[in-house]
Amino acid sequence: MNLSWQNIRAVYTREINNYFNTPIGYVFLLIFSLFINFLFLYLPNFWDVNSASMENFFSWMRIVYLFLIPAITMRLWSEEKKSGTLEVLFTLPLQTAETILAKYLSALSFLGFALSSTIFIPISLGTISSPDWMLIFGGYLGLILLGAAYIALGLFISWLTQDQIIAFLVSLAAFFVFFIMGYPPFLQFMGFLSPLAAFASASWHFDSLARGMLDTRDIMYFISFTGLFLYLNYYSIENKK
Amino acid sequence: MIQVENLSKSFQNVTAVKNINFHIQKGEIVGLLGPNGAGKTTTMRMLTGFYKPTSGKITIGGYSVETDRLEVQKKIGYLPENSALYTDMLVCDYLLFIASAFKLTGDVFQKNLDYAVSATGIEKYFYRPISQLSKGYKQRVGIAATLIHDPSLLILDEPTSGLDPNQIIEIQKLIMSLAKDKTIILSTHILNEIENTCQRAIIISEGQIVLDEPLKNINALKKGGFKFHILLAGRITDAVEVLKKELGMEDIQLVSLDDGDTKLQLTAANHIGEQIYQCAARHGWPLKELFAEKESLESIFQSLTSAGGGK
Repeated sequence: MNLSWQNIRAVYTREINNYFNTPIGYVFLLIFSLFINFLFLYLPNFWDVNSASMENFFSWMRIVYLFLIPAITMRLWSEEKKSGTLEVLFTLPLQTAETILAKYLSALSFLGFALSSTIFIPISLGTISSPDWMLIFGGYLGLILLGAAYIALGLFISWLTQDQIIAFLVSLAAFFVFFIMGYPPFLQFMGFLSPLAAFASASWHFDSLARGMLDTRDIMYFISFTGLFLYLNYYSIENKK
Repeated sequence: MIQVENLSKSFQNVTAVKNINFHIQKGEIVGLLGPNGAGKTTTMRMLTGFYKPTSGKITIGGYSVETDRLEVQKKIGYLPENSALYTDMLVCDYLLFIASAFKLTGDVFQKNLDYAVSATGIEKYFYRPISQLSKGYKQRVGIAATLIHDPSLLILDEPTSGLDPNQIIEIQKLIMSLAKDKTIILSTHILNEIENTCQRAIIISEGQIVLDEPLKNINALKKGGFKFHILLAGRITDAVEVLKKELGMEDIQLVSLDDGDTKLQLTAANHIGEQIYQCAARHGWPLKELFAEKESLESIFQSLTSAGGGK
């Protein structure tokens, strides 16, 4: 399968513009930015700890992602299905994989915009103290990989319905499952299956990265997770035709 | 230009298109006609590569849709039903997006864009949001998008659906103007549209082709054909046989023997009302009603697409 970057760019440009064609995209980013920065400053324990740390911030971001990513991915396929533009898209001389990748990359870019609005937090920390930059780098890498994985899953879920709200709610539920599986009380409840649940949990792998441990197993987990759901998306589209 | 052989499409337990065959020559304007749910859109979606056929083969311009989908799609300009457009975009951005998907650049892009915009008369609306356009202009934008890569084949799914009479005439004129150098397939359930724009009609009913004729042949049928409705008082069971013998015709059907009357229907090339009357008089049949209906595309369509018709 020879993918054409020119084709991917054509759909990517349309998709990324779609986020910003209406004020909703800008308002969304503004609210996210204000909320995250507010959350950081008022996070419990932030001002109590002696060292400048973003640990709590990254921990909160896992929860913010449960809502943020479904909001980014919910419309990607469902809106095309509902409005009938899927027929326009799939009758253009584009490969299915090119279209999926373009949509995926546009959502990832939008997440990138959102995350870049938090960059003032580590900069502020750097000016007032000496934070552990490895921890911050690991945390951001974890956020990017977790976001990349969730976007692949959210994109796939968006394909399964033509209702954006359903896509949002199902994505939220699916992300919650991958989140809760790494939560200590849940792991205790799972008994002898807890290592398996922990390994399958996205938050468990994220926590590992956020602690500054750049383990290739965690990175491979997110890459495999992303690849699996992008492939499932491709397979279900081809199968539906 | 287009060869369709033994084409079928099933969705779970429903067969939408059943083993259809047709060939379309370069430059033809063909109308796909049929009631709602007949299989017109499914057929068009298979031609464009949107659906994969369950069985059968489609070749367009020498390329198989199944194995060379992208090559086929480069040759096709497709207007989906209800002119689905990205309403969040400006007209210019939408056309630019379609052009970029066809990898159009430089002079070719500018030339094609100018042609598509002027042919469809959307110059004034070029920088407008699509969401603010009337249905007629949205349809024009949809058609402009089908023209942007200068395709040799246009496939238009119900291009005038939902438009007011003036808009319908405008879109039909536009289609006629495009027909000079393109092969066009359009689907509709509006019979006038076929008569106004097409050279050939393919009538589809329940997923099967029930008529595939040049319009001039259908017109000849309309000019010469009459359908007679005969109502005789009493149950005259041998009326069909007697009429067949005395009029020397085969196309006579007994419609019903209900309510103590005999209802018959026959189709003839000429007006034979007098012969029918004389035959009834000779046999002493009380003739309650006799009227002739001139065959029209509507009546042909009705007889072919009503349940069991034309099979």
